[in-house]
Amino acid sequence: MKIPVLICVLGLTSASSVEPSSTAAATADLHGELSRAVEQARLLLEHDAQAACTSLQAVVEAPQRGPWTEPARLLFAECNLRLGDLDRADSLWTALEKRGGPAAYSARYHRAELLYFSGDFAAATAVLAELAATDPSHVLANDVLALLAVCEEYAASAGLADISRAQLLERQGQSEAADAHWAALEEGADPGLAEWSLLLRAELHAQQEHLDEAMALYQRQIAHFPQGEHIVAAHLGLAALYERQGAIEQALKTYETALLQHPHDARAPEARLHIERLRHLRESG
Amino acid sequence: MDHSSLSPLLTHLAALRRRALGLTICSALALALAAGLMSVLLWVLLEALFFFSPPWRTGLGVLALLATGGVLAFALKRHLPVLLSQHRFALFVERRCPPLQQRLISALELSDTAPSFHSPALLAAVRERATALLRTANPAQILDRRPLYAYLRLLGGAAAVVLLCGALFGNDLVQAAQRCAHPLTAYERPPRTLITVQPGNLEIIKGDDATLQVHFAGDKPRRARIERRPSAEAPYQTEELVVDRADSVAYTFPQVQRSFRYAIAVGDDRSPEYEVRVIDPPAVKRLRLHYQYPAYSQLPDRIEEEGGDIQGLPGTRVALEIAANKPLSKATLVLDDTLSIAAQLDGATARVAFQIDRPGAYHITLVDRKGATNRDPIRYAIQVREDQKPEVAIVDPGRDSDLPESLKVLLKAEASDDFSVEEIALVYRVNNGSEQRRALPINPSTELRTSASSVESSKPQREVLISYIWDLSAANLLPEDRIYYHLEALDNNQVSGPQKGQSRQYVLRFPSLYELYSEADQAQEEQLSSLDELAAEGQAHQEYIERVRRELLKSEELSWEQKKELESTLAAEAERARAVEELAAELEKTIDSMQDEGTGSEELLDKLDHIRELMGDIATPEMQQALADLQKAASNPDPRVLAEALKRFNEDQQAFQQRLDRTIALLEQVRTEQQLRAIVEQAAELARRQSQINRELADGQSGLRQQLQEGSLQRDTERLAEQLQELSDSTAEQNPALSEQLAHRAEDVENKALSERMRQMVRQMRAKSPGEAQQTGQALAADLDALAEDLQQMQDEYRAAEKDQLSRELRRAMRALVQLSQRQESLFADARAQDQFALMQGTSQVVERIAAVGRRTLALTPNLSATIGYALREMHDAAQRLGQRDVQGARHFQRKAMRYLNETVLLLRESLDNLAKAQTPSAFAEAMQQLLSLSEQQSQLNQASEQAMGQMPGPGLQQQIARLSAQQQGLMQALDEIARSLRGHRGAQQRVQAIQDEMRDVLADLQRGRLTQRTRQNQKRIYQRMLDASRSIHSRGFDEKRRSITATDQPYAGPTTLPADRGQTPDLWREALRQALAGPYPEEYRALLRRYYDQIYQDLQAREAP
Repeated sequence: MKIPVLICVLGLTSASSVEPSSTAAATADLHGELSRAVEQARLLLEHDAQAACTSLQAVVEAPQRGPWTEPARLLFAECNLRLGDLDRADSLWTALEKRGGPAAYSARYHRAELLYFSGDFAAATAVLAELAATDPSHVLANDVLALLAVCEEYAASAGLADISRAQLLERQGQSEAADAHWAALEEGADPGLAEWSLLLRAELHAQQEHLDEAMALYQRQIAHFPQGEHIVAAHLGLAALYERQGAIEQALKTYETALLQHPHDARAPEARLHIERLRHLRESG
Repeated sequence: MDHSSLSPLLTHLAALRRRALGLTICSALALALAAGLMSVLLWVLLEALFFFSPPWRTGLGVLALLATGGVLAFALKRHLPVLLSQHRFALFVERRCPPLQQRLISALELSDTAPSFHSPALLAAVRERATALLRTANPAQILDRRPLYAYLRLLGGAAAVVLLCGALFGNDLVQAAQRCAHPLTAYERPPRTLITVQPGNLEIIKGDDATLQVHFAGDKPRRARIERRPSAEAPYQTEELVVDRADSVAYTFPQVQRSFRYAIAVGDDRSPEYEVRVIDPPAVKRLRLHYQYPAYSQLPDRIEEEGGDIQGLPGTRVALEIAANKPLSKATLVLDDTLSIAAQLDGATARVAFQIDRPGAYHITLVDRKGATNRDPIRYAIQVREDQKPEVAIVDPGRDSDLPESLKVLLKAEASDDFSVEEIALVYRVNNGSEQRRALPINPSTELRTSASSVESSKPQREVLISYIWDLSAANLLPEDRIYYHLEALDNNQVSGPQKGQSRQYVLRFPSLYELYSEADQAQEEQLSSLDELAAEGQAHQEYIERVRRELLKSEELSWEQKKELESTLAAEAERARAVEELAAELEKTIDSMQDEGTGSEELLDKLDHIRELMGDIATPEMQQALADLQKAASNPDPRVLAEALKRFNEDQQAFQQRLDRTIALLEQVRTEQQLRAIVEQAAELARRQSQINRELADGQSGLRQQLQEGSLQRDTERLAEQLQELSDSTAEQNPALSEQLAHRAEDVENKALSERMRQMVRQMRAKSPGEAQQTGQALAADLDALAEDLQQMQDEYRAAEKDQLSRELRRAMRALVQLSQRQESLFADARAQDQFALMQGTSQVVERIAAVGRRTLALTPNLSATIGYALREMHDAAQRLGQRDVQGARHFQRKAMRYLNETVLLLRESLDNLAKAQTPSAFAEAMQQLLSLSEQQSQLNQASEQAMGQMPGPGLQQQIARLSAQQQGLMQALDEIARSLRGHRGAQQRVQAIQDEMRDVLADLQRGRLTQRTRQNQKRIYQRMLDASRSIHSRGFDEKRRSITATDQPYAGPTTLPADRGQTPDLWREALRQALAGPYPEEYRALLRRYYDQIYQDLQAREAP
């Protein structure tokens, strides 16, 4: 769910594809302002969706069109999603998808996300599968594949609805509301989903700088699912948190644990790298 | 004077005198003759000796005459005077007859004198006395005959001398006499040597020797000359002949070719010139052979005019027309120098005919009208071309094979004969039973198909192709039975009887399930073993090449020995690649065999087919190219080039090795599955066989057959237990859970004492305790059913567990790759070389994991490894760029790496999909059931189309076609559904696709409102394909008909004689099926009949099952 990154990429792409106007400096200034507005909205989005929405609305409704327009619309739809107006978000993304262009892929992905959030996993799967086959080199392709994998793997599991709901609520900043779902998942979902839900929560908390919560979640995950599919991710996440807290030894030990316990995991080399780095750090004082 | 008294005296005296005269003349003549003879003889002798000239000869002749005349004259002169004078004669008489005492003379003299001087009386008296005395005197005393006799003797002597001389010197004397006879004739003096040549002129046959006998008379020469010339005008050519004073010599002119003239000359003599005339012998100028072949050969008559060698079939009549160079008096054909056949003559032409029966020789003897025979007649060969035996070969199966499930064997054979194949018979025996013979009619109207070249029986059928469906379903065969069969072909030889040709003998085996599975397993084991060896070899090569590369980098030079060793290793590598391809071909055969025998499920066969393809792809063109490059580089003086080539090759070889390892692992996996399946199938088979025996027991049959079957069952049950244990042992390491379950089942079989109970059942049957046997049998059947069910369940669980595990593995790999992709994306902004490198290593970890999955399943999409390989390559390049602090350049590769990672995820997803769709037995069977159902619908549709074709064109027909089209469309949709449900069953899918293609054509026709013969044909084909497909697929699990025959041979010490029915129960249903199939039904209907009866069998078994 890398919305800011996406917007940047789209902006850059669009900017590079459109020739700069040479007619008037004023126009250029205006375009610059609009672009900046979009950028500001992107920064605002994580903290104040409403403000970002207001800011973007002006850009979206402005008669001027430029490379900022589609990123603005995408961001605007995202704002609507975060504000709970799913229909609006859907219509915006649908419009973008129909319009085609570089944003269409993103819009379609977001629509699939909406389907996922709304619990229509089959439809989401269908859209995602089609999307995945469309352009594997797209910057969102791995997100598409990740979500598709989830939809397919847990399609038969009741917990998937919970997790999708929890993810939506977390995205909308309603962590408290999401907790119920997380709790339900941790307690009642099948082990795979339960483990994954813990990981997701931990990562969210880590992103939100709730390090203790995140650490607790990681530890819980490690404790409950020592042979889980995401155990290495948990170890690495936990180790990273230790490192952020300055507990180098602890972090090192955690990395080492991950490496020793799962030397053949895809992230084992990453753990090894961290170990080397931390050892070097420790030795260098 | 009285003369009357004198007269008698005178008379007497005159008579006496005449007699004396005569005597005298005769004597004189005798003397003269004797003298003449001697004179002439002397004359002739002298002439012979001296060859006088005519004067001399005449003179001598005269002398001879004179001498003769002189002698005569002398003789006459001496006696004639006495005789001519009476007085002197009278005196002569008185001297010879003293008593007369002058009385006679006196009488005579006195009578002439005057009477005066004598007394008449006295005179008379004297006369009388003289007369009387004369009368009484002996004339012989008076006339001396002795001189006559003496002269006669002299004459005789002379004659004797003449004869003697004649005898001694006959020729000479005759010639001399001839000359003396013509004394005045001047004769040429004959030579001293007289030459006589015999036969002188002669006529000989050209080339013969001309032999002469030359006689020499007179002086015998030492030498003679033979003078010879070709013609009277030509000069002589002389040749010396050594005679050496022989009386005669023989001389031969050898091998005379031309006529000539000759003479023999010696000294002063020369024979006349003779002629040797050469005549040509009779000869064959031309031969004309008229062959009349025996009727059976149906060969047309033939005339041959070149040569005289005869070549033909026994019984061929050959008429010879012999044209000679001259008119003949006789011609004979001589066979083998013994039997002569006289020819009919017509001038210079002779005709003879005979029949050839055996090889030999003949020659022709000719005699011309002069009696000359042909010399050295040519000996011509008589070659009898034996009627060849027909040749017959079974081309299909053309090898020892297993009986198909239908128990019908399609025999295809080719028979040929030099004239005509008259009969073909199938000769077979079951095991060691008596031989049975079945004539195969070579008539196209029967079930036997013949080629177009052999259609009418009246025409010669030199080549016959037959195709015969040999139905062995009525043979009551038991598993493990062997049928030894061959074909015999007879030709139409009516002379020496039909010749018989025989094909090679083949064996048809009615295999038991155990045999079939064992063979398939063995084949797989061998292939695995070969692959293992290749893999080990490859490993060694790989290590060696790497070692060489390192050494090369170190020393920058390879020794000659090292180079040679490297070349040898490379050659071995090339060979290894070929060996893998060969193994792929062998595997294909195994697959075909399993397909034919029904020992592989569709899934297994598909897997094996996949593995075969993998094997075919092990040696990639890239690797081959790398090998070629390396071989080329080996001769490059630059060590760096070689080191680089070695490196490249090693990489490719590593990939080769990995593919090989994967293939081996997959084969092992499939083999385990196959073994498991075999066990499950065999258990089910055992249960069915036990049920069958139980049913027969329930029907009151408790004969030898049932005992044998139960015995066979017992043995197979023991085998099953062994197989369970073996499979348990072999899977202990690979799959402990499965191994444990198998061991548990093996124990079950042991604990339940199935084998012992089966023996007990046999004993009970032998002891005529059917009730007890039945009870035991039912318990056994129940246990076997339970075992079969249990094993089936175990197999299902094993499959499900395998699939589940593989799915989890794939999902884990997918997740890992998605994370890697996301991580790769995160590195776009904040990139360090070591991070990128770690990412690449992580990806390699996933690659390993996927490879591990790939060794257990074929569900992975083919280009998966290539795609992830690209990702690794891009990551490597990105890491390199990052190491060079080229962040922008690295980003390009990072993006590409991410793309490939995503594509890999997609491919994994596809693989997962494949895995999910792979073989679900129940779904597969369901699809096949649907296909069978569709085939019946198609059959009905075909019949409807047939009826529609009979309708007159018009709106009615169009409506009917529209209806048909709609129905066909419906079938098409149903078939599409089946095709979709068969995804993952490649073989079945292909067959269904073929039906779809046909159906599309039919549908296109019907939708255009066309219903033609072609449409009908297509519809028929669709139906046939449907049946074939369903049968083929269905047969993979052994159809019911095949299962119904279960017993195998078992050593048995029971009753020594067989019951009258040989313990066999007539199979009523089979008989009914056979009768039904014998009816005049179309093939479609037959198929339905078969299915109908199969269904009855199934129902019966289901009903009778305990």
